[in-house]
Amino acid sequence: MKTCRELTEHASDLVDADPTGPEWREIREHLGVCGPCVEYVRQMGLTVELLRSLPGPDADAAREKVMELYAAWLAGR
Amino acid sequence: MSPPSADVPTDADRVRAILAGDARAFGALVDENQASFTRVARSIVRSPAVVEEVVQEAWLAILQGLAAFEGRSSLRTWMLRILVNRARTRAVREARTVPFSALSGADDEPVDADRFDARGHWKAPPGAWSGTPESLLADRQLVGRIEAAIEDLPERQRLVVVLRDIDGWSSEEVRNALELSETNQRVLLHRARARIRAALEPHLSPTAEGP
Repeated sequence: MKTCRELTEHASDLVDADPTGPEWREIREHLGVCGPCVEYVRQMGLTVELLRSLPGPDADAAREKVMELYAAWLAGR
Repeated sequence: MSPPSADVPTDADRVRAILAGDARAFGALVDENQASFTRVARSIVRSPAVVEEVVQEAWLAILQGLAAFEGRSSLRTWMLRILVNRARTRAVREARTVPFSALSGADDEPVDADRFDARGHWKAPPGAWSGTPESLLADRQLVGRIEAAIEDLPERQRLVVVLRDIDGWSSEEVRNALELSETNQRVLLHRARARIRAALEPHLSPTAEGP
């Protein structure tokens, strides 16, 4: 069975993929008996969710300039 | 996946429309990519004053190269390569000293080795985090910490996590745009996520020890 240290190497994969196939068996076994690793994987998932929900940069002012750039480029061709 | 509909333009359609002067078509392309380009440029150039210029230059280079776009890659990855090249050229010109942390990338471990005992079991396990993403993101200080953690990443880790997790690009798009193998991309993403988690740990878990 995998050690905790080995399991943390897979935490990112567990965020992206569903660990149902046979290749995940050792990992599932470990998570079945190890509370700290379950928490670590959960925290990786939460970290990714936070990243996904971050407020974005204000793109409106820049957009105007890019559209002006386009108009100038069309005119100059 | 749903079958392609007549309403969804292909890359070739969009290129044709933009070359023909269709401002709506170009505007749509800008809306889809401007935020992502800004973040990517910021990841490479580091100086906020230069970021906007670099992105504008990239859009101009994209327009100038558009007639020669052959569709061998997706439009998006083709555009991103132009942006990354511009940003890297500019970063070199700005002669910024590369910080030591930027030299590492795929070598560091996700969790400090000290947290495990000789058998590889947790010696200093992670303390529980409470809160939902919504409640956590309402805390502006935490948002600032997340952004700082991203800033501190080595460049390639930062690029991958920004594109994958913040901008939602697929692993294939990121691999193609940054010319990375699948393994390399996976490792960079993992390291980045682990470092960000570690940076947030002292603030989200009062009982936790250091990274």
